[in-house]
Amino acid sequence: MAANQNDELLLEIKNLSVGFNGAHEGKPVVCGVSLKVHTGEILGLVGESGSGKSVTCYSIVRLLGERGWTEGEVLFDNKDTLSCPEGDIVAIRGREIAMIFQDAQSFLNPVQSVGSQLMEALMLKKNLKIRSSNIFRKEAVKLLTEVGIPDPERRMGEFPHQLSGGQNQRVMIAIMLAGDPRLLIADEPTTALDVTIQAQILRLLKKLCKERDMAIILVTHDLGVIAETCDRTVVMYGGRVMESGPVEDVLVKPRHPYTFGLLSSKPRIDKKVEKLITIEGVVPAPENFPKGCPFYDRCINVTEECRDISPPCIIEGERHFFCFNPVKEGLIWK
Amino acid sequence: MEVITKMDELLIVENLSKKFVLKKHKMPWQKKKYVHVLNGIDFSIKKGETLGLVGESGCGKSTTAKIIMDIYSPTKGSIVYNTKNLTSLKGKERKKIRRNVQYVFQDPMGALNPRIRIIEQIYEPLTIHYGRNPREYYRKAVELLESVGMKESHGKMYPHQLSGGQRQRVVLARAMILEPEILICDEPISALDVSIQSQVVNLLMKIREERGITLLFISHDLSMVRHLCDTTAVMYMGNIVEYGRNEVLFGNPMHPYTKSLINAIPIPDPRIKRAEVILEGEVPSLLNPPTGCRFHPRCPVARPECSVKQPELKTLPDGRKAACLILEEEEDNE
Repeated sequence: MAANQNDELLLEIKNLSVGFNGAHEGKPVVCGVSLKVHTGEILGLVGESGSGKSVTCYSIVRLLGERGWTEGEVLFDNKDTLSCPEGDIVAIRGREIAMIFQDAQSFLNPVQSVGSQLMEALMLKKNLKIRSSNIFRKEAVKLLTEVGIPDPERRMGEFPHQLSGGQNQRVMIAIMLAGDPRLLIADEPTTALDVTIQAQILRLLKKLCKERDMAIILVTHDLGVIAETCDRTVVMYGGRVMESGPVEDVLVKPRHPYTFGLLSSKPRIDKKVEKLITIEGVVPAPENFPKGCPFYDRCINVTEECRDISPPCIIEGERHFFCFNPVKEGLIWK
Repeated sequence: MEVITKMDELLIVENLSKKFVLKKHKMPWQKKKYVHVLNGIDFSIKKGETLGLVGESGCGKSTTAKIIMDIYSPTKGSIVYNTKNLTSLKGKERKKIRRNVQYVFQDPMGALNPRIRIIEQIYEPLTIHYGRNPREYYRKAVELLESVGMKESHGKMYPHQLSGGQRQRVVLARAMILEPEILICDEPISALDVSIQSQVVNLLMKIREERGITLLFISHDLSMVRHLCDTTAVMYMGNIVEYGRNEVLFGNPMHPYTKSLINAIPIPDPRIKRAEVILEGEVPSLLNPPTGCRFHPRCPVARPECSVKQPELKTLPDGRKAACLILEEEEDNE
């Protein structure tokens, strides 16, 4: 459900810009992104490839390292993760903030059994002095059960190649849960999976969010996944936030032409669509991002100032969007 | 429902089976092991129509397409194209008929040669089939390049200079240059961004309309199949489980697998709340397929007899075909 104002603010990104050293002619790939995550909510980050959603996530826990530069603030529990000492971020990474990825197969070590990888994670993240593997073993089995792996005792001794893609995804989630995170960043966790398995994983994420009172940032390019899983969503394009707000507002009555275009360019399973509306052109490369709105050259509502001036942030209730000439209010797509 | 006559059908696939040898380089006295990827599938495409082949990964969609393309040879069964049996053709006759069936792969970068200019790749099929005549071919290739929404100047470029969507357009243009009657598209849009997907699909529809081409569209994206195709065949573990006109199949899916597959696809509209029928478990290994109905271990309505008897594809009163023992029983009761 929509996040209440009194929900505890967990993460706040203020005006974040990220760039890569010596690439894209020094231009940023993420430009002035601001967003908030509250405890117990699922925030959906949606956009096409190259829109900067993954880079935003990586910079929250400083995974870009020496390759990139960052500007702005990322406040997690009132601590700036961008400027705090390396030791502090190591303490947060994997414990307070955990991250799951698209490709579980390459996340897991192929020559180590699932059980020992899980137990290793438990040992590292809980800082336990005990070296008795029995306790860890029990914990690990408990985690595997929690993520819904059948017959966890037997699975402990198996290797990633013996498990299916969906199960590997579950193992990765279990490893990330080892540190009892308060924020889970899920970077396209279901893109490589079949639809029926995708539904299972999404249900698992929803369950975990509720049971552990954990916040989740779900990165995806599928608006359907957003609609079925998330409470609030942030639509990104060209390294900037286009529109953000509760799912019920953004997906039902989109105000930004990009959200509108994205919604009407995909056919629906529940009804017949006569013709797909296309967004012409391609996503620009970071070095070609304009001063103004990155969507200006593909936009149907483009105005003269779009190219050179950054559109202002318009606030409507809980929804924010950046546009000079938004889609008419109350216009419901299809 | 119209009566299906064998006359206007362009491609008829009958009882198509394929098994692969599991481990090569075994000692001659050791018994060979086989994986049965396709178990006798039947379908047909009428001239000018579009058939969608859907299913989860590993269900045999691409194998079917590759057998039709003569990339694999079938173990059993026949493919009849324009009253000619494709599997028994050899030499010149085979080459002649192959002009009429063209293929579009999922990954356009893998399908294009990185070292040859775009325009030369587009007219290369003409050289193969009709001998060298670059000057004349060039004109034709440019014409095609323009008809897929690109410029003549793109012809001088190399594949790496184009974007993903443009590459897929080039692959489409190359497939069209021989003026084929059937175009087989194997997941042509899966690798593309959402906004680019709709561009390519609209292009496919335009080509289909202009040239009256027959399409075999393979995809795991059911919403796209619903949008683009006239008829759909749903596959599961090497069998067709449901096959019928799109209006019937998507309007009222009958087979439990089709039902749950459609239900697993997220709808980008948070107002729609559907019953959460999530398919449990995963697709079993083809090495050790379940007895009886292949779907029974995951089927929400399975009965004891389902694990014994394999259902056959039977025609239902509304013209569709479905392979399910429970549906058969209901039929008998009425």
